[in-house]
Order: sequence, then C-alpha cells, then structure tokens
Amino acid sequence: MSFLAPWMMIAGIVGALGVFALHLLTTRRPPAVMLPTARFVPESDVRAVARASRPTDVLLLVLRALAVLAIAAAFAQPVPDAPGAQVRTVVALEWTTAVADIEAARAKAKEYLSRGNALVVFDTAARELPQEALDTLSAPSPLLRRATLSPMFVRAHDAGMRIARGADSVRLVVISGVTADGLDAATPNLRASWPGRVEVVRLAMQADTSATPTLEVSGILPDDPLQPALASLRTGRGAHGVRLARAEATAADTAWVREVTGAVLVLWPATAASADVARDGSIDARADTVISAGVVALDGGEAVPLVAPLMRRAVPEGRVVARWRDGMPAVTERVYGNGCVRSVGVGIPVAGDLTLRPPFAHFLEAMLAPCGGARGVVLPDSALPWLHAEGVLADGPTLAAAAPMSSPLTKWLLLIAALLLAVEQVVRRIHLRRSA
Amino acid sequence: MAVGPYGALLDAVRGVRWPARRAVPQGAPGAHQARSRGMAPEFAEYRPYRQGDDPKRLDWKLLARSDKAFVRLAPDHATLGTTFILDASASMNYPAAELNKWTLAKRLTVALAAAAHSGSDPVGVVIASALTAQRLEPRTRRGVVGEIARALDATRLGGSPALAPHVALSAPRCVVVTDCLGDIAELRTALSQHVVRGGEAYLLHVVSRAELEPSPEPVLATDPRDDNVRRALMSATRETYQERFGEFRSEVARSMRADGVQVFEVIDDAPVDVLVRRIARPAGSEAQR
Repeated sequence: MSFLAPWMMIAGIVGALGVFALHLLTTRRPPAVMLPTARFVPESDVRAVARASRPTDVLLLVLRALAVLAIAAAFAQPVPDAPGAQVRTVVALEWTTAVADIEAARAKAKEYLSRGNALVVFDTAARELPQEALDTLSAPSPLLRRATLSPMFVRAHDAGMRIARGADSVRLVVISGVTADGLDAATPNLRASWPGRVEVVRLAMQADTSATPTLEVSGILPDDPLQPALASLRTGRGAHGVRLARAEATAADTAWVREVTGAVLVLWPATAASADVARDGSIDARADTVISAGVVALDGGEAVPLVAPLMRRAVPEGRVVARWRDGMPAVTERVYGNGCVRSVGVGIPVAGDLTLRPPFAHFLEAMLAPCGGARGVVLPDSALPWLHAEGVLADGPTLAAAAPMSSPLTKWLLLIAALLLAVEQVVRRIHLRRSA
Repeated sequence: MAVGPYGALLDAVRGVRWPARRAVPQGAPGAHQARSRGMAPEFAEYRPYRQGDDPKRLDWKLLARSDKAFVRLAPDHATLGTTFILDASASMNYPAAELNKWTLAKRLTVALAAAAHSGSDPVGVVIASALTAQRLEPRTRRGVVGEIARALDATRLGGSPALAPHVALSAPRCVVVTDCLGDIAELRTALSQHVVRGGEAYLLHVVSRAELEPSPEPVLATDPRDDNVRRALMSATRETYQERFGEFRSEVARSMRADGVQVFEVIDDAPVDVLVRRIARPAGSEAQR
C-alpha cells in the first residue's frame, strides 16, 4: 500500500493531533447558578474555556480524529501495490485477419503473460483486456485486416502506467506483423513516448494478394467504360476471389460470397437508375444522365482522389471504403457470410478517358481488394530501427509517477468520513442536551 | 410574646425607640411629637385666649399680672402607624442555601416592628409574594410582633410581585424591605407620593454579600425572576458586573433620597441590631448613609 499524495496523510495526522489538542482546551458551559443580579452581568458567550489534563469527551474526540484521518487518507489516495514480478510486461497483440495463424499469435501472447502483466489487443483500434479474456477472444472480423501501431502505443502506455506501481521496470512486447499501412505520422512520436525499449515479435502474415485477385466479371457489356481498365488489371490465382457484378447480383453470387472464405462481391451497376439518384438526392437530377463533377477519395490509408464528372448513387450502410468530397460514403462494404459485399455508388461516365488514367486504376484495385482493404507490405526490422531500438526497459517508478491514478478507496474513505461526522453530530447533540 | 428564634434579637434591640422624623398628625396619644398642641404639664408657649377655648387652660396668674388672657400650650404626642412592605419575590431567596437576604429582611422587620411597637405605635405588615401574599393591618395590641414573625416565617418566596400598589394603603410610616430588583420605578413613584401626603417612607435595600462579591469561579448566572436572563459571570465580565451593580445601587439611593425617602442599604452579613439602631436613629443626630 502506498499513497499518491502522502503529504496529505501527514496533514491529516497533524489535524488529528490538533483535534486532540482542542479537546484539551475545551469550551464548556459553566454551572448554572441563581444570581438575582444576573441582569447586571454583560452579555457574552456563555461558554468558558478551560484547560484539562486529560481530553474531554473521548467519544467525540475519537469520532472527530477518525473523521479527519479518513478525509486525509481519502485525499492522500492510498493505492494497493500491483502484485507481480519486479519486471512486468505489456503484451500488445495484433488481432486481425491479416495474421496467418491467429492461434499461434494467441499462444505467443500467452508465453509473455503472467500475474501483474497487461494485455493490449489492437487492430485499427486498441483496447486493454484482462489476461483471462485472451483464451475466449473470438476470431477477428473479416473486415479487420489492418493493425495500426499508434493507438496500440497509446493504450500500451496507459497499461504500463497502471501496472508500473511496485515494479522496477516495464517492458513492452509487440506481437504483430508490422506492415507499412500500420504506421502513420504519429507513430514515431508515440513510440518515443514509451520510456524504454520495445520488443517486437513478428507474426507470419497472409500473403498479400490484393494486386492479383481471382476476378470474375458478370453482366458487363462490350461498351462498358470499365472494359479498358479491367483489361489492364493484373489478375491471377490469388488467395481471395472477387466477383464484379455490373448488373444485379444473382442468387449464385450471394451464395458464393456467403460460403467462400474471403470472397468479395463487388456490386457496381453499369447504368445508373434515376430512382437511385433520386434516393441520393445530393446531386443534380435534372437530366436522365446525371453528371456531376465528383471527387472520390479512398477512405483510410492512402488517399487517392478521383476527380471526374462522376455520377453519385446511394450505397447501403457499412464500412466506408471511399467517400465523396462532401464526406458522404461512395463505397461501402459489409460482412456477408464468410466474405463481404462491396457496394460501389460511383457511376463512370461513358465518354472520356477516366478509366485509362492511373488514379482510376488505383481506385479499381481498391475496389477489388480483399475484405477490409488491401494489406500493406510487411516491413523488415531494418526499416524500423526506431521501433525496437535497443536500450533499457521502461523505468517502473517513472511510469507510475506519470500515471493519472485515482485511488479506488477514495470514495469509500470519504463515505466513512461522512458517516463518522454524522455520528459525531448525533453524539454532540446528545452531549449538549445533557449539559444544558 | 412568642417570637421563637427572634428572642435574642429582640433582647438586643430592647430599649430602642424609633421616633418619627418629623411631627406626626394628631392622633391617639403616643410617643411621637404631634403637630398639634395639647395640655400636658410640659410648657411650650402661650397663645391669646380665643372664644371657645376651655377656660381651664387659661393661665390665671398671668391674667392677674397682665390683665390679658393667655392660654398655656404644651406639646402634644401621637402614635405613628407603621406598615412594613416585604418583598417576598424569588430574588430574595438568595443565596438559596442560607436564604440570607430573606432572613435579614425578616429579622429587620421583626426588630423594627418591636422598636416601633415599644412606642405604642401600631405595626402591620404586607408580604408581597406571588405564592403566599399576606396583609396584617397595623395594630397596637400585644403580640402583634409575634404575629408578624409567624407570618414571615410561613411565607414562601416566589415570583416577581409588585410592591408599589401596597404603598398607597400603607400606614403613615411605610417601610419597604426589598432588593430593588422588581418594580423599582413604580415603587419610587409610590413612595414619593406617600412622602408628599405627609407620610414617612423608608427603603431598606437588601443586598447580599454574594451579590457584591460573587465567586471567582465561572458560573452561568441565572435570574430567578426571569429564566431568560442567563449570563456568564467570569473573570472577563466580573468587573463590569460590579460596576453596573454599584451604579444601580447608587442611582436607586440617589433618586429615592431626592424624593424624600429614607434609604438604607443593608447587607446580609451585617449585625441586625446595629442596622436597627442606625435606621431608628432620630433625625438630625447623624448624617444618614
């Protein structure tokens, strides 16, 4: 047990001694005596100060001293020292579908976990879980293919501060594939905020097949503006299959995406129905062929704007893959069975060379990417010297001192103090009634 | 005369006379010089004879020598009725253990009544108490002092009775025995009116030594006349208390004397016979206190 503000406890002890001293200097009511000439006595406080060799009103003294000590202890914020070894570990585990063997990752994390350690699970977000939750952690969603390190560092720092009390040092173990899309501008700064070295345990990742999907196209017409772009697209026998439906999706399409693991059904109708445009309602709908100077940008990761007279169509709710310039979703995807359905609400103009330009090729690749988006390139350790730089472990007391901790006992101590003061009021009134 | 515990006191004041401070109205023959002239052997003055005078009062020898008729006059004497009005309020019951103020008031009354009665004066008493008020009309018969003593001994003190209304019904000599903590303003008015009517008024201001010099121990002083008056009497307030009480006593004495009232401050630890001699001292024999 230690105190976050020990000087408050010292102040409380001094206050309790003050209460004791005040009980030696009691103000008591003098005995009542009949005096016919009392009217000539000037008005004054009817209590007289007297000094006693022993404290008076012991019960009141005890109640008051305990109340002062309880209040002082509440403000001193006692915190129990966290149990565990002198060197404690924060285990940050990547939990995405990009990890080739999720069970191996789970087992690797278990090796590092012991009493007093902390577990942080991260994908594009990070959260701290109790160690026991690792065994029952369900498989990641197919859409979770990316793990970013920035939120992981934030959460790991919090967890490190929590477990640092009572420990000599704290180490951070990152169990992740560490891909390029997991880094952002803030990552180096957040890494630098961890006051020690970081141990990176590499996980085997699934092969990055986003560039070479197994593509099947249905409902496409010979004069479809997508034809040139598809012709120049690299396809092969990738790990995930993609069906691009330029017409309505068939029952076979939905059955396929439901049953095939990692299957992607891209619903990208070739012609825009005026009704769809009307539902969107955000663009000019005066002509049958609705033309709008649209800008579409891929959501998250790399932002590649697509500027052209695009036609806007409504898309169902889901994870946003691309957005219009005004922030409205242009492409969404949602999990369906073992795969996902990606709805593209971007109408391609029939005329023009938009589909021949590099930005559109990039946009098309994103539309045919695996569920959850394309997986980035795995970065070698040599590319990230700042990440796992050698050095000492994070200093436990330093981390603990930076923790904005609050004592869980504070509210109980304040409650006890309030109860003591309430009892003191009752006892004091009884005492006054007796002495009156 | 059955006077019980007052026997020693009455022995001590035996022979003490309480003369009137000025000539009394004509009345039954008594020990006090009256305003009228009588026929006693003691010569006072001559007055020309007037028709209707008793011829027996003519000084025949003077008539023979001067051929003028004069009547021989002698000083007349009359009795002076005395009424004692005793304050039997709760404040006289102090100190509670010894009842010194009330005891002094009783002993003074009995002794002065005996002194007055020894001059054949009728004496009576009015006991003003909220609990056992009693009135004994002035009488001259034997045993009246004993009756007064018994009435006083049977008195129960309490409340804060008014004294002023009894003054108007008093005998020519009115003696008020009180601690002046009641209706002092009304009492002053009533006594001054009594003096104006030709009566004599005495105020015996009873004070306890414990009131003059209260205990140095801090106490919560409570007025027995008014429970709402509760003041802390301690070292910080003691001096102010004594100043105020002294000013009050001085003011009572000054204002009463200005109205012709004989004021005596009697303290409960003083010998009663000495007090009686001082109170009964004839006018002009020594300056009053």
